[in-house]
Amino acid sequence: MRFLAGRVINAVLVVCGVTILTFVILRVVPGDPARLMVPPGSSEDVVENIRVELGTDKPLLTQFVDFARDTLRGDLGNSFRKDESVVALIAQTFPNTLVLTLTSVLTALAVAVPLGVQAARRPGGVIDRIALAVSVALQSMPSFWLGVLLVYAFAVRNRVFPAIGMDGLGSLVLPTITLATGLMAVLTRTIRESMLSAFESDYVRAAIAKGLSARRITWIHAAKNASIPTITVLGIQIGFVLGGTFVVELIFNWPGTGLLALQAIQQRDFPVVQGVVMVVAISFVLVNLLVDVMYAVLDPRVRVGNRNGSR
Amino acid sequence: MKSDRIAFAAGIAIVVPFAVVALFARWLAPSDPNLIVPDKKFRPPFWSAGGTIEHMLGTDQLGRDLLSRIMYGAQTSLYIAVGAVLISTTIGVLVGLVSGYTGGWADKILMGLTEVQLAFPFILLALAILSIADTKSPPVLIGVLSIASWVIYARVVRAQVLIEREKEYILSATVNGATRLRIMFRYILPNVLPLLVVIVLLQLATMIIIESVLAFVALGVDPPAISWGLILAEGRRNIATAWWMLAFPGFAIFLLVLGINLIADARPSQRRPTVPVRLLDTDDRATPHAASGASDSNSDHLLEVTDLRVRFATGDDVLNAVDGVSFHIDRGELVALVGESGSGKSLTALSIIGLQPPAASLSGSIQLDGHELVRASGATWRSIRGRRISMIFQNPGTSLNPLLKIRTQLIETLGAGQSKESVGTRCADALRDVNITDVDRVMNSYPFELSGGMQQRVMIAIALLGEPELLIADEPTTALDVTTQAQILDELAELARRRDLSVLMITHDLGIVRRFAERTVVMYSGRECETAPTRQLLDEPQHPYSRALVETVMALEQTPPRLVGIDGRPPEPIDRPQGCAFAPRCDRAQDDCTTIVPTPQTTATGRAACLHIHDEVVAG
Repeated sequence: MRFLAGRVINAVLVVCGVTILTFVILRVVPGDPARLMVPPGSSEDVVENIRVELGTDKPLLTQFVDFARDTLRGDLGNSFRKDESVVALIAQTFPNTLVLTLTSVLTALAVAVPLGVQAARRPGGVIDRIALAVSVALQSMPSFWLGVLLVYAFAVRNRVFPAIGMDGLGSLVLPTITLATGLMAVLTRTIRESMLSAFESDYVRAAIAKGLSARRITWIHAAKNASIPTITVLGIQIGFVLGGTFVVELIFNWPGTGLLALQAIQQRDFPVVQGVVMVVAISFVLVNLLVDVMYAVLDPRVRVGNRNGSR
Repeated sequence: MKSDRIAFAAGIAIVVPFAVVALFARWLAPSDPNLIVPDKKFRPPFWSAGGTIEHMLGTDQLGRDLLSRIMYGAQTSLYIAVGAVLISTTIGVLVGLVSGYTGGWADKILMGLTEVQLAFPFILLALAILSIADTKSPPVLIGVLSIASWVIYARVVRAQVLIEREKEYILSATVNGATRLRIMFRYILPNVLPLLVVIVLLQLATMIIIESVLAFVALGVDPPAISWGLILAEGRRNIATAWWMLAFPGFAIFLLVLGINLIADARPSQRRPTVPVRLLDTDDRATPHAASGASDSNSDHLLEVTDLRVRFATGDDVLNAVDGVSFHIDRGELVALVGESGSGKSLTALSIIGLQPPAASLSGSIQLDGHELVRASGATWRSIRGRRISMIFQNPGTSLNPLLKIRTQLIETLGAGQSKESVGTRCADALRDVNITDVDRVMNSYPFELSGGMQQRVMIAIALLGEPELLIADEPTTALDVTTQAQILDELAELARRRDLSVLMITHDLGIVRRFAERTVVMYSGRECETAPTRQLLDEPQHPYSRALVETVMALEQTPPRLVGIDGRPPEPIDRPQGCAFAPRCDRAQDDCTTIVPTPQTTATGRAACLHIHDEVVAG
């Protein structure tokens, strides 16, 4: 459990770092949010008023202290365009993003696990060759292009699925496919590689010598070991999926946090941008923490800290 | 592999034209990409009705030529992506080198920083910065993308530096007074390079996608620069009217990224499966036949190996790794199979339990109790492995599954269909049989919590759970220290005696042979060389090779030890000489030894494969 305690402390530190980094980036980068928020040609007074409201008129250090205090209280400020707090806006949208992310990850896994395992069981076989070729192609497919094509094919030409918005299960289909495709390709290749190296291991050879069934060797002996590198890759990829949702949410007008962020950016709604960046970054940290927990559950050597830095 | 080269060539064939178009867009593009001609808006591609050859890929909502815009888009895309990759690589490599090589506080701070930055989903960081940037010229985008991505290189380079730093050539360079700078750039960097090239390529692909994503959500490069993502975004707004505005820019991104990925993928180090993965393809439901019942031969031997050959086809050549080996094992007999590495002894042993590599093809005969095992079906093998023939291996530490408790690995061997109590008792008994006293602790342990000797004892317990008649032990004590080695050998011999178990001990160590085996088969270069009761073989070896082998060991055991070797080295199976394989190193070789392959002949003690075995021994 010492391992997990260490990882939790580390996660807390990283969250602090992320918060500071968000603050710094949004202030150090040339460009004055207050000026961006007003129509071009507004008087200096108007801009100054907004600076006061944002708090960006104060010295940087004072700003940071205020910011840190409010953040610790769970107060991320108020939206400039909507009459709501940033926390409320994120609370409304984040579950939708989460649903989309989850369905995508599950869909990707549902395809990648059987495909990757089957490919590894007959390396060089028909399934293996097809799986590899398809995953190289899908990996190169920009998700936003795929999304637009899907809209064109299934919503504009043939009205099979709703093109936009969130209305029942049907509206989940196209965004999920869009988000899942790239992930599917990466996972299939990772699982294939991990299973192959498990199949080549001494313990699988010994398991065959024991007379175990192919099913048990594949799904207990090899798959358990192969799941560790797979989880590592999945953890990193979920970050990309979370970061990638905003394009998909834009294409399908999905009321998630990504869409909120894009609208906020267009409307120069500075507090919302800052809040979303932080929340998404923190959820990414949490995903990584979850990955560490999974390591500890799967690998007894990690639990006792025998294998430091197992990633 | 061949398919690798094809993928690489395909990648180059895709990327090079894109690069040419990007570099020379000004001369190659048919028209000005920003020339607005309202009369010509939404012209379809030339092959559709209403399309003209003048605008091959059609026009957009302002009548601009789509092909020209895509060509200029390539320029923007590659300019920004290459620029960002170059800058982030430079920063990342420098930071990684310094951080990894110097270590200490600088390293800690840098790595802490990178960890925080990694917590930002890459694209989010770029978004955050761009959302408040005043201008979005290509250099600004390059800067933003570099800031967001240098961390990846720093981490990779640092990790590699930490590995390289400890290697001997670096240490010796340090001792010889090379400066830090010299070591970093002259010695370490070249070793990091292969990995770096792959990451650079993959990052290039990522950058191309991100640049267009940003443009797609209106955070990309400012006009008049043209981005594929921008064209796509305009296409999306006209999705019902102009499909070509969606199809072509997206396809351009896809193709370029695919080309880069193909190049990055074509790494030379494609592993070949060494363990018979194909064995897993056996159909579990098939009815096992053979393996039990009356024997169909007159042989009294438990195992009878006759003229076993194991071949590998390598290109046009055929490699006879095992080239005609015959021996037998009786019930309860302890037999050693001795030879140097490359003699084919392990391959012979693996073939007996059907674990030879998938590329190997077997001929000859292996009979267990009269049942032929060469070309046995997968179902037959399953009924034999663990139940009639078991095997233990050289590395107990890696032969036990690291993630499963010893208990699980014991129980699963017994299979289903037995009560929980009886399974528990049998497992505990099996552990006690190999002299494990704290049974409960060991059962609840993971392999890494046990010592090497305990791990091998557990392996033996697992191997014997199914009450096999034959145990194959492939150098089971090589990885253990000498005291444990002796203990385990004695325990194994005692177990075999009690259970009437036959053991085939594979080893290169004559000490183990002497301690353990009743009869010994000596192999040389894939062939049987001499077979005799162990005592006689060691006292009066008949074959010139066995004699040389025994003399080598005797000389070592004298006080003071002498070092006597056999001149030369055993031939690789691929260039095994004509005639007797040992002839080139044999002090008694005659002319016919280089032409005739000797067959085993009866000797005073057993049999030996030497043409001149019965010749008068010339003193010397």
